[in-house]
Amino acid sequence: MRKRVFNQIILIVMAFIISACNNVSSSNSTEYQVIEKYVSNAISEDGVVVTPFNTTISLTMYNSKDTNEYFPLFEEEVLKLHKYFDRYNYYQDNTGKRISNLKVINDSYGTNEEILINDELYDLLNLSLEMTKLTKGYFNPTLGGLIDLWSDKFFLIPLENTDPDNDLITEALKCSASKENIDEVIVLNPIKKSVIFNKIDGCNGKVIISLGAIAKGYAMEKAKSLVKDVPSLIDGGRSSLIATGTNPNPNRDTWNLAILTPYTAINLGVLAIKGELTFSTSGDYEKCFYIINDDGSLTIRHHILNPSTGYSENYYRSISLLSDGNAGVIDALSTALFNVNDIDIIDEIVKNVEDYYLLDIEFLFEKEIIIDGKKMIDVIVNENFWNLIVADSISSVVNIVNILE
Amino acid sequence: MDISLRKNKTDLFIVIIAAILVVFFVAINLFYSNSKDNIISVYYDNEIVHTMYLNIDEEYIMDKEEFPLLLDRMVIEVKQGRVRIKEEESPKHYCSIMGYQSQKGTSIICAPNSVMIIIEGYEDTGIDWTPGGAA
Repeated sequence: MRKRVFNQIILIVMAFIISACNNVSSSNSTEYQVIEKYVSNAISEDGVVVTPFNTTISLTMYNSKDTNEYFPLFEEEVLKLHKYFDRYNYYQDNTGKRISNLKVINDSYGTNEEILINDELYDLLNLSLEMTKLTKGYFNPTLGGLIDLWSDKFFLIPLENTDPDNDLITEALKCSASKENIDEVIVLNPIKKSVIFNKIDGCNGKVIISLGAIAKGYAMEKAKSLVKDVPSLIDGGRSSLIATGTNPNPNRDTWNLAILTPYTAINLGVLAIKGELTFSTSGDYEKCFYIINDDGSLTIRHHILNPSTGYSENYYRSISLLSDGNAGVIDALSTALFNVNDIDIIDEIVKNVEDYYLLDIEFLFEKEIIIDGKKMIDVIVNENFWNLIVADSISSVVNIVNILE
Repeated sequence: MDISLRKNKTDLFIVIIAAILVVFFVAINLFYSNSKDNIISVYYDNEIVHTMYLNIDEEYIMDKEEFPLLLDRMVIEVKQGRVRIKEEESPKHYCSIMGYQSQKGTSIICAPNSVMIIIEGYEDTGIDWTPGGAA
């Protein structure tokens, strides 16, 4: 009898072991899981902890095997590129030697020193010069001095603040290159992969190169090449996105992206896209403040500065761009277009960029209007972009849709 | 058919033991999976340093002595199924301004302090990505 009891207990225990084994096998390394991992901070030469690209960059993959294989490579690449593109800090390489990064280039302003730089920094500077010309100067990589006047005033949400002194803004504008002279200010040598940072006549201070509007997208694009076709989302600070591969979500095969309105918790709609995509959005509702005008009305000041005026523009509340690649270009373009009020010029700039980089770019602009005291959104959008929006997802705050062919 | 009362008693004993074991393991499994669904991982310098649960109210205090990359003391609060950074030192206090989060898969990132809080798990809302707008 004892033997029988023992056998029955053994059977019960085995049943539980089998059950436990089933649980283990169901959570194997290729099982569908949404895993988002963030790039860690960099450490500067002075020991300062620095957030890469001053934002959060993450890689989302859909099983632990892919995450474990690709995230370390992704993180290493993003950190490396951040160190070269950072204009605030020095960094050292593995041998303890200071690397020739953007801060080193800015230090050389006006000295006529030729700085040898790595391929990626060279490419990024070259891309910045190209984008300056293709966007008719609405994108400008030499606004560092102007940005520094404004950046401490911006807040995550709109709070009251005051403009910088207008005289300082005027002086800062004198220390920025134009689309006409930028090739003479930032002189690149494609053979030697070097740069000479020349003086601008009439600038009493320093010209400072700032690649904040393009560097993060460029880095994401470079990091994308490591991920290849493995399904993933590369998120650059919630303003840029690259999707690779096909969404492995068991419920759908499209990547579904929300398009924001300026209003908290209200999405304009949802984009549903199959396969690889590059998306960038710029809005005036983060990194901003407001001023109170003499008549009591409010004007929003935000982080996208017009290279011509030195102030931010209020033509749009938000711009979203969708493309089939080149996140650096798309980020720079969304920044540039925020300063353009004329739809014909927008069309011309977008076409310039499409032709030059062989891209298909769709855009959506949101303008705020007030009807009977209620805030609504006018939308200006490409037909192709509009067709990708899930019809029943469109918000009731949308007033008019101007669809451009 | 030869039925032995003695044998039936033994069988009954085995069935009761088995039932108790099943109830016990099911309860343990339910408790474990429930806890797992509600896990909040607190990362410091990319390492998990503390685990909290959405269904258990708690305040976790991080001191600069123990976590030198912090700009100052930080307090993380779980209350009524939500988590937030209650107190911290960072430029313009961005980290605490973000307020409460409760959705699985979302995170609170406090980069100046090298702290990240992730509500583990995934909740399919039908949207893969929502932008923030600060390009």
